Amino acid sequence: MPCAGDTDEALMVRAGNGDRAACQLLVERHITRLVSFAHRTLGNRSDAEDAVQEVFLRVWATAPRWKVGTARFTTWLYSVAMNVCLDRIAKKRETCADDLPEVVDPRPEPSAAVHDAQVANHVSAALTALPETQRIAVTLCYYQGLRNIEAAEVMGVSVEAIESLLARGRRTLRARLRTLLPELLGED
Amino acid sequence: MNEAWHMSLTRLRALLDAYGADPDRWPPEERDAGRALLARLPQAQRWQDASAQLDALLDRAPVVIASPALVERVLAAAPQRANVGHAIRSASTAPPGRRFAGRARAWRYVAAALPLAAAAVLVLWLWAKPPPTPERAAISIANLGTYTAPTDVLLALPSVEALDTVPSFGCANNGLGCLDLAPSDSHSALNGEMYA
Repeated sequence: MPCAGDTDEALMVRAGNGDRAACQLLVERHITRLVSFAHRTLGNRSDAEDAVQEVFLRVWATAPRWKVGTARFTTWLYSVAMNVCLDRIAKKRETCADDLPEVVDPRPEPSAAVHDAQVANHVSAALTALPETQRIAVTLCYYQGLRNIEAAEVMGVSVEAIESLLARGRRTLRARLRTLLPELLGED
Repeated sequence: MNEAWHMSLTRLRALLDAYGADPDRWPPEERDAGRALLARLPQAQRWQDASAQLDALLDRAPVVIASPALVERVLAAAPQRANVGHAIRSASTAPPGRRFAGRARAWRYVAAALPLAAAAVLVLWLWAKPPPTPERAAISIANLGTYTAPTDVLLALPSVEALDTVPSFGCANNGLGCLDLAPSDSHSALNGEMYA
């Protein structure tokens, strides 16, 4: 019987042996963070949930062959999630070339304060409009809390490249969300 | 000398630009040096404030949680003991020395399953063989019944021309239309010439 103290890697081995409780623990630990990652990468909830389902199908398919010590589970999991999301972005781009991320005018309506949900939508839209690599780097490091070396491993780039992607991404976000900053600071 | 002095302002600016205002997000080995610079330099604090504003905006991005339906779908596809092969498990988790033991055990299962598979194929073949149709069975019974009648009656059937049939073997009665198999005189004479 797996317990909460088991590592992800140990749970993977148990999952590969058909241990249902281990599968459940893995899902509980990672599904919300994966949905969050996929949502920020793909820009909508429906695609994000489909992507996460596909990620877990790959997890279950790999579990019987998983060997402890070959890879860190979290890094491997985010690599799979990133590839699934990038595949979906590429397919979507092929099928509907005009379906680019919606760029929301970040200026608040003059007659009313910007509601929290609107701010959230503006931030989400600004993230979605980032180039894919910058978006994934910001999502992995800022939102998912991965260290730079882990994000570099997931993306298959150097730590320096990750820092460059992060800096460029945040600079672009700041420019896109600049008009929201006074509202955030309570200025008129 | 404190290692904090080794961090340049340029590097501190790069950390703020890339990772945000919170030193806990920075690479662990640079946190102390960065904090020391921030504490000393007002200019560095202004950079940190600007970076914190962007962080506050990013923190207002919507938080999405997994729906119960998704969790259910994911768990429904999870591997179960019934569909995970024992041989595969042995190969994946056992140390290398035990992999071959697992493989031998798998071959024993295969050997045990072969006769069962052959029996199953035989049963399927017998079951799949089509039974005689009712129409064909009735014809067979009728034919068997026909031959209980006397032969003369059969020969008297209009479709059978009994008189046209000529027995070619074991018949010596010319009255019944049999060929005369006795050697003729000319035939005997010819033979006599040949053997003379």
